[in-house]
Amino acid sequence: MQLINAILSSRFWALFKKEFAQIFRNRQLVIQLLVPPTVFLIIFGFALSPDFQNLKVGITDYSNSRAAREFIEIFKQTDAFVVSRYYADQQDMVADLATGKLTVGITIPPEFADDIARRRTAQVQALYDAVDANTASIASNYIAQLVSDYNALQLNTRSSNASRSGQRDRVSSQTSVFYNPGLETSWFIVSGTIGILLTVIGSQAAASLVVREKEAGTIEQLMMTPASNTEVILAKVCPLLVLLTCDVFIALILARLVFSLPLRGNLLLLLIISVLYFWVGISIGILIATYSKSEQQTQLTAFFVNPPLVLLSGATTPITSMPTFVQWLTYLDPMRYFIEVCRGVLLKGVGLETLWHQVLILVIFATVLMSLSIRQFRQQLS
Amino acid sequence: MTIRPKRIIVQTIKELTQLGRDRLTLTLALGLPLILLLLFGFAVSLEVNKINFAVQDLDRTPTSREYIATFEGTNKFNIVTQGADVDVPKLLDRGRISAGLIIPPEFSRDLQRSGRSAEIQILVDGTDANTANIVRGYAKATNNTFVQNLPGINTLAVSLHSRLWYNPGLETLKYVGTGALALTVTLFPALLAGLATAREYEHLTILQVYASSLSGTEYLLGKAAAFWLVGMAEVLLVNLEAWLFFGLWFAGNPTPIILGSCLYIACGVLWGIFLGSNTKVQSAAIQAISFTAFLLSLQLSGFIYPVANIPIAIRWVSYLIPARYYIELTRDAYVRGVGWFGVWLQVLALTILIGLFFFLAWRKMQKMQVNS
Repeated sequence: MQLINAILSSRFWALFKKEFAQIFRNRQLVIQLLVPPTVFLIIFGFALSPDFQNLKVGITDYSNSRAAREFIEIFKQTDAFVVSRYYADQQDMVADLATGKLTVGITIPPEFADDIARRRTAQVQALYDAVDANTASIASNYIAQLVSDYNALQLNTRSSNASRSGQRDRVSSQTSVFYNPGLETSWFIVSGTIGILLTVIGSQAAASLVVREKEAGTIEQLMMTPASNTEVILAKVCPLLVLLTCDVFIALILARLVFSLPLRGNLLLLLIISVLYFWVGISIGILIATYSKSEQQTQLTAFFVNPPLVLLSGATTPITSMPTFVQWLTYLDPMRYFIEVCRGVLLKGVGLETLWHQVLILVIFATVLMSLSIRQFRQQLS
Repeated sequence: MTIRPKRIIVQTIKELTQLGRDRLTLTLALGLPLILLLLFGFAVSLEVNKINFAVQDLDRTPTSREYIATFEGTNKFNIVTQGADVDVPKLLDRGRISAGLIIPPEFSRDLQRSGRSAEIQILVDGTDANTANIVRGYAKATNNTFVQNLPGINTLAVSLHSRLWYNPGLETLKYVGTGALALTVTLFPALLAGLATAREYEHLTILQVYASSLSGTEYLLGKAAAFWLVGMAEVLLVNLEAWLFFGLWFAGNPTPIILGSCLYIACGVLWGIFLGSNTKVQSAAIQAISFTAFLLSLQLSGFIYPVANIPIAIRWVSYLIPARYYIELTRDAYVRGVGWFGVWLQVLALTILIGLFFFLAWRKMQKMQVNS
């Protein structure tokens, strides 16, 4: 009780109230802080889908046999591919591939049925439009799987026909997908987007605040108050923290409603670590602001800093897909650890005992950045 | 709608001088795209190359070791740890592995007995559904390879020969590089133009413009021309860098991409001016421009994820995004090389968008009056 009284009557609280009121009077800032997370979370969650469906397959079947038709069935059995056209001539199929109308063109040679009947290995050709390297590699992965399954099935049919009775798939593999059995693509993106939005908005808002004060010249008035420099800065930062925490809530609720994003871990843990991460984001913003002379420079410098932070964090594209030397760079990115925490708590349901590593690093980042920014700010004030 | 070319040129020179005085901004405007190009090119990828993998081998016979060796032999799986007391779920929790195998104790015994099939458990980290899908596919295929290599089983029914058209090395760099090229020149022309416009409203120098005999169109064209020049300079530099680092060079006729770049930069600049004149405050202008011109372009233009995957409800938005057409232009120019036949539609679309954005920006400015 006494502690609460002490806080409420302190100079810090007075400054806090002033900063809070100032922010709310700036309706644009409030909108900036609350609207983009909601809108963009939804757009990105829906739009960024590496789900591959309805990839167009063209087929040139020179064999025209029942065996070939049975083989072609494998493409029809999955959502991933849709047989878009049958071609009489491979050249026509290749022309369509060239203009991007097909993702893959399959050519079945005239000897196909013969080879299958005589138990020789039949040769089938697949031509991929590899301009989109990612789609091509995923398509080729799927098709290799389909062909492999087809081969296994043929093996079974043949061996059971040859009276090696009962020898089914010699090794049957049972796959379990952890954390995301439905393989919802949106979960990866949405859990990352929450991190992106918080970083970008946090640093921009903080930078804005500080520079605005500088430009408006009210810095001198702040210096004249009896509050110490640390109190001034803390009072600036705390309303932002409150608003950003609201952002987290909104983002989580939206994600749950729209994408069924689970929250398997401890919400309180996530919130605490989020607040910790906000310190990092806000410190970065303040640091940027102290080095800039105008609002324009601040925002441009923020653009210097934010994209690397976002791209190297694993928020939209996985770190495991990056080249090795780039993966080493990601260790320097505080956002990387925050995203790991987000995904850990939301999707994996793990707690501090697994995440202490990331939390420790975030604490170090926060302390170092905060003290750097406070020191810079103080130097500027005096 | 009066247009006196001399006035436009004067306006352009004034904008450029103003820009030139702000050294930091100029350096950032020209230097940042270069850095972003490298970043996008190298960091953005959905490829799955080295899958970190753990094996709990409860069988520990030569057969089980051969099974594990099949996985190692694919060069896709990188075994982080193996043994009888490896806790695969825990390693998944920690994020140290993307997938794991559990080989039961009766594995080799079941394999040797006909009429029984040996069971293997494959555990995959599903946080990233795209990678999980690919990993699952590789694991199954490797399993099938092992089965096919078993003694007594012979010919494959079908052998698939794959050829990769246009990009035989399946170089993600070429694909992502062309997208990165398009994206890096997206942000700054729009941003600078928007900031300059918003600043005029913020510092009220717009009143001087109103009071002068400059017409709305002249003002708009002058401003746009200045930042268009900066944008084209960026395009030049970025293309040079792409050639140096990604080995991107014209695969066919360069004229569509040259014309396309001019059109695209104009789109960006006009959109920036439109947003700047609407938000009227620099910080808001930046937010608006970075979210629309940059983030929307990043996500909805087909840079990382194909446009065909976007649900129809949102796909209409991508039709309005110039970046989408520009990426198709760059991909054709540097990789496919088909030329005008393949991309005239995209060039047309960009022209239409220029008209649209110009109209929007002009409508705001034409009155040249302070709103009462």
